[in-house]
Amino acid sequence: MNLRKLIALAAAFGACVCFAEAGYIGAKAELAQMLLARSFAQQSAAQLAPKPWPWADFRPVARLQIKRLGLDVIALSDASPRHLAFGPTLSRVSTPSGEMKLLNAHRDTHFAALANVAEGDQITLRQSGELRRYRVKTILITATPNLALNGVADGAIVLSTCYPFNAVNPHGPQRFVVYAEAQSAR
Amino acid sequence: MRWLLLLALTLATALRAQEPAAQMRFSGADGLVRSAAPAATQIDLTVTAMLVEGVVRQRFRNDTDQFVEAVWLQALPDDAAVHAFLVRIGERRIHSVVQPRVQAQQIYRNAVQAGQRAAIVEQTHANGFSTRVANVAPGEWVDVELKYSQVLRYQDGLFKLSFPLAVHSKTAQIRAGVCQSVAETGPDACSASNRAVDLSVHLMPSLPIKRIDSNTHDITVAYAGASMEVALKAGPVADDRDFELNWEPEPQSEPTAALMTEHKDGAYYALLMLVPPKQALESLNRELILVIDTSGSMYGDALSQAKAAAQDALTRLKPSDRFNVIRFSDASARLFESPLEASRERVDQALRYVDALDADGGTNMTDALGLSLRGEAPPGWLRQVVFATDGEVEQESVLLEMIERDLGAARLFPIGIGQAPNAAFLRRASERGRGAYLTVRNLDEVAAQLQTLFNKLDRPVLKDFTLKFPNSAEIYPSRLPDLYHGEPLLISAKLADNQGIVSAAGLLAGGRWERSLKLATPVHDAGIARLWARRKVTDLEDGLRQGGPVEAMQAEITALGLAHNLVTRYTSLVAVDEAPTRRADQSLALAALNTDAIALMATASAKPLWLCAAILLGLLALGVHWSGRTRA
Repeated sequence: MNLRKLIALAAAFGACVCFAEAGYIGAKAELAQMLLARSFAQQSAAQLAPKPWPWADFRPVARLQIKRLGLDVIALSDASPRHLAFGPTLSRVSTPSGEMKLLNAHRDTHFAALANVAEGDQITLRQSGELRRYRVKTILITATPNLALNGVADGAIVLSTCYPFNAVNPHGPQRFVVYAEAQSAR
Repeated sequence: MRWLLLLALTLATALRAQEPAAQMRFSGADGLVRSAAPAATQIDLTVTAMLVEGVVRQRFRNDTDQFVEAVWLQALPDDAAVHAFLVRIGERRIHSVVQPRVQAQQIYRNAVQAGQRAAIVEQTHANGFSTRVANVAPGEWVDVELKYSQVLRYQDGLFKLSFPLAVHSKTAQIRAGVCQSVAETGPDACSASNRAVDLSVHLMPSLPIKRIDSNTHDITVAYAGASMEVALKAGPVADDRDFELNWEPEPQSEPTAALMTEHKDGAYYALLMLVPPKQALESLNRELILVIDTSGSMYGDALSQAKAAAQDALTRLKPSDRFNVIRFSDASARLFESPLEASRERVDQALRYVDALDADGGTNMTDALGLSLRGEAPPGWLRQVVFATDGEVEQESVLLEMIERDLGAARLFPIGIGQAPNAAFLRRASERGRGAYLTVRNLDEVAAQLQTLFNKLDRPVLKDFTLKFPNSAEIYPSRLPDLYHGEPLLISAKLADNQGIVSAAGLLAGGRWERSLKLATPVHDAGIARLWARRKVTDLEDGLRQGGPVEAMQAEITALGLAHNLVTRYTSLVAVDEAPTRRADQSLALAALNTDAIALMATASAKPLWLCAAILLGLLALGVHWSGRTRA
């Protein structure tokens, strides 16, 4: 009886800890974004944004929005898995046709909203004081983490996150890839 | 290049929408789409010095009693560039033409409006091309011909020619909204084994050959003057293993040079090949400056592998070599005030220094680069600056200017590590730095790839290489690189005529090296002109990225593309359907070349895992609690 109570209590405590851990990941992601937004607001064409907090080893570099999905996040420089807890990372990738921008973010925090993305959705990216618009051309789910770059247009943007969105295993091979091309000024 | 993707997407969608499924596909008991495998494959390779021109011919028959869409994958060597193809179905001929992009787009639109489609040739992954032909009648034969160019590999003193006869890849493609892993739909469906493959090689080696053989197939070799004909001994074989042919040039004690020319459209094109001797010559003395990025993003595998490679490079220094180690993140620091000779104690000290490196802070490249280029190596030493970083390059032009200004006689080898190395910047930096660049996208390969680079850097054979042509010549690469052990150099030039003597010179460890080469009878269609044109396009594109006049360069690149059958950013390979009937029959296809793939980062936090665990534990608590109460 006592043992049973002990087990129940231990399990309940464990549940609380796990729940708190999950909450912590979510809270860290949210809080970091608030600090990043504050720091990003001080960025201008002439000046890099200040570091969001003194010991950060990255800076906010761009603001990514998909209005229809209510997605609005600040992306970071330096694509490193360590930084994903705080926000999407933005990197420039050379492609056969020139260059594209690649954004990675966690499927369960900053890019959770991508689950509902649709072809034709408009994406905006504000970077160095410049606003660029993109339209989603293709959404694909890859079986492996490899993405061929041969069909990628110059100046395109690719959002990548893990897939499936609700999977428990954080190390699955599948990726959810949103491919969008820049809309010309016309 | 934008329209290429558009093409792939729209076309794939169009195919799906238009096809009455029953006509186009014949599904087996497993419900899979099956395609016919070629009944016969003929591969003819022509090798001139180090250039390979390949022709792949295939033929297959629709053995079903239905109209089918035929799909097959053709694997090609890794760096093959397709420059022409031809599809023959019954009386129709679909062949490729290179068109300026705008016209190609127009052809495409017309075809879509007319609701036509015929054949698609596209690059499915790094070295595979897939070809689809729709609406093949029962019993009908289809012939396909693909032409490609490639530069040969040279390794451990051997020239290696290979042709893959099976496709393996897991690279996914950007296609019409579906995941198409080639592994799922490719080889199993398309390359049913035991097709007969015949293969021949016409070899003009340009250097005397000591030995030629194949580890994979039984071959016969017939000599005809300076050239050789290689064939499969027992005729056509099954396509169960890759073909590989090796040959070894006669051993030489000095670098050997070979010169070949090609005549094309009124101009002469030359290819100069400089091959280092197989037996290592005495290497030039060198001054190695290792620059290691220790910013926070290098944390983990990237840094530990870079450290291992650096330590390996340090242990291989000769006592007469000189070296220094520089680390950088927000700030830079160096091991020694200036480069010092590599005594045992100093190397040990450097090993400990590298061992203690930790990843933290940001990436300030400007400082580190400045530090690494400071000063000059003493005469007789070749300074090699190896600069490894995973950082984003923010001030490209500042860095490039700095290289231009401060390089002196040094050579710069920039290395990009991680998911998004800026290859264009690395290439420019290496060209201005007169070195070579390396991108390592897969973190597991950092150590191995760096090792390969260091292996090469260990043994510089010849520096200050110069070439003098009798008349004006347009040479690429425009800055002649150094010659390293185990790595031949290929220099392309366009000449006004084919007369006279070319003199080559350079500096070996043992003194000056000089050769005179006679411009000889031109060969035909060896790919010499095409290689020259491809290099010139690369050069022009670099100019474009650096803000050169767009119109002028666009015109020049387009002209080169059209004259030499190249897919460039302004020209595309388009399939034209010459139908015997007089309908406005123009269908199209595309070939996207020069593919590249990246590994996408793992992007899932442990949040669902924790939530799941919380729920499970919660249920356990409730269950235990509840069961206790019911018993009581």
